[in-house]
Amino acid sequence: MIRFLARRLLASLVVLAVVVTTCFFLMRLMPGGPFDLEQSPDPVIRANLLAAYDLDAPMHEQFARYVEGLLRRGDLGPSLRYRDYDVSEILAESLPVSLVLGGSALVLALVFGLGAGALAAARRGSAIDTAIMSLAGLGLALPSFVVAGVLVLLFAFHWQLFPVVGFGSPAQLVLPAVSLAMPFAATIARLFRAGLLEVLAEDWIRTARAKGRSPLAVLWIHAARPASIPVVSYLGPAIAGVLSGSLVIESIFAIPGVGTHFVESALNADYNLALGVVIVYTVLLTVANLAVDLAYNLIDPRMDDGLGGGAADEAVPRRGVAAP
Amino acid sequence: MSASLFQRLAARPGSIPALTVLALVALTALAAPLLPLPAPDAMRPALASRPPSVSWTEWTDLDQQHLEETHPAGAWARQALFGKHSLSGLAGTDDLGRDLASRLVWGARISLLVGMAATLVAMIIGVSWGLVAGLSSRRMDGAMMRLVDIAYAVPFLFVVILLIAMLRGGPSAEQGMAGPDRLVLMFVAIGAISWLTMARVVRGQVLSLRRSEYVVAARALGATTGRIARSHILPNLYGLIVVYLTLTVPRVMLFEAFLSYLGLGVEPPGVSWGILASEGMATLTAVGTSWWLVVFPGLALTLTLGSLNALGDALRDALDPRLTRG
Repeated sequence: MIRFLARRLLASLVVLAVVVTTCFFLMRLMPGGPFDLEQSPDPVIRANLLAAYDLDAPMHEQFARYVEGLLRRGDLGPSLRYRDYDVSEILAESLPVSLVLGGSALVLALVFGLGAGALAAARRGSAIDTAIMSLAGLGLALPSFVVAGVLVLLFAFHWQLFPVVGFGSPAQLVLPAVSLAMPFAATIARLFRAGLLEVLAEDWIRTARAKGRSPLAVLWIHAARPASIPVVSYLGPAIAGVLSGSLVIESIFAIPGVGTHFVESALNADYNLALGVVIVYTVLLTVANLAVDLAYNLIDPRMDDGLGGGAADEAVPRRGVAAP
Repeated sequence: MSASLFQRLAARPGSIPALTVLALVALTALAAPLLPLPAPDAMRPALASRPPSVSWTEWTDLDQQHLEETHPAGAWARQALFGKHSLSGLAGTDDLGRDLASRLVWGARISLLVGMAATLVAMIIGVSWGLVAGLSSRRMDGAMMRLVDIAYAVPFLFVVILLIAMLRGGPSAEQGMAGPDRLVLMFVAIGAISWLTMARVVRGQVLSLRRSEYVVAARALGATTGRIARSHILPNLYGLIVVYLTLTVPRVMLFEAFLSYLGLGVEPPGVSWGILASEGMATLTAVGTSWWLVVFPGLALTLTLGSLNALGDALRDALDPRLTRG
């Protein structure tokens, strides 16, 4: 277990180092700099600006200084766009917002996904099963911004139950969290149903039934735990997907989270802010994947503890790139 | 073999409707220049923000001019087929008076093109990677798959957004970099981050195939590794590859829509479904919502992606009865 953890941590650090290095240099090699949109064409002012932000040094020196600041002080540097703000200050303001949104979406996805999957499996072949699975198929194909659009049309404009945009009150959280959760709830429902059906065919389930356990107890006490392994292995990509999906959802609902900062900082060539956001996302993703692997071992101690994960992996991509 | 595969496929629920939808979408996209619809970017301020309705209108010089610029052969054929008739307003118009039905049909071309091209990129990388890893020595295989495992943990989405946004934001956006280049950039980028699952699946299959008797026999007869890969292993991978292609296309299309939605994908006046959905969402904040601008692009995306997903699942089940679920 310790060896497994150490190996995973090492791999994570490698990933983080590669991502930071690649992004750092690629950003600076791209045409266009942070001060190109500046009004003043005066080359002296430009040179001063570059010097003030330490952007006139050779690239490898900039990198060395950035890494040193990052490792020594956890310093992500100043934002090049928002004057007088440090990247860490901006992140400290926006990250909690994104975490609240993503966390609620994940909880929603789990509650509805597991519930629907269990219901479909328990009533296998019935109209309920067909309805839930069709709905899940639909949820999988619906881009989150389309869900958001339809929800806003119905619940914000037509019935005026929820506010259209903003962040702060629970009512404002409902529409964005639901639109973000939809595709993940759909996937979880499908995975849990498939897992349950497989497990329910096992011998020990028949034993439990023969013992006189009620169908509900068989489902939740005996079958749910082994059947949730595919769901758990999907949580890693799901978390990645929720993080990236919130890029769009935040911009639709005008939520001041990390996502909006990310796209904007990339467009503005705000090197430090963009890199800061990438670092935060990579760390979040790594921690999530690590937690998932640990949960994996807890649920089923037989799982191999290599980097590759178990066989349940094969069916599920471990990453949520196109999930939004 | 192929006949029975099709029968098994057709027996899966949902596969026939899915195939029908996909065929219709593909045909409509292909026939876009020939359809009696107004040009997708011809603005008619007098007709702005109209809800869906059916009316025959005149095919104007503006429409003709647009079509001749983008598709000369189509312009001629369309003229011959429908003369000056044009069906406008089928799906409503946007705030600039452009015809949504026409934009959807033309957008299908870009969305499908990006979906297929990016998937092709992913397939080429993924299949070669998996094939090479599966046929290499244990150590090489381990190293290659370890790399895939590590790559799974990289938030590529963010790296790609970063790169595309930087390319777009810089001064080069105004100078060089014409439209097609950006499209190419997009599907190379999307393809380059979507190959991991394909590599894993292919490698798994190769590992089991290389132990099969006929491969051992071929080796005993002196066949080189390259020859075994080409004529003994690759043909047995086609089914698997088709399944994962079908499942990758919708993911990739979703990603295109996502990028276009963020303003990082296809650039106006080019149209893709992602752009249309994004434009629709933008009108939602205005007074008086134009619901059709949100609903129709969403419907087009959902139907196509849903059909692709359903087809992929059905294909997987048809190819491997062991995997049949419920």
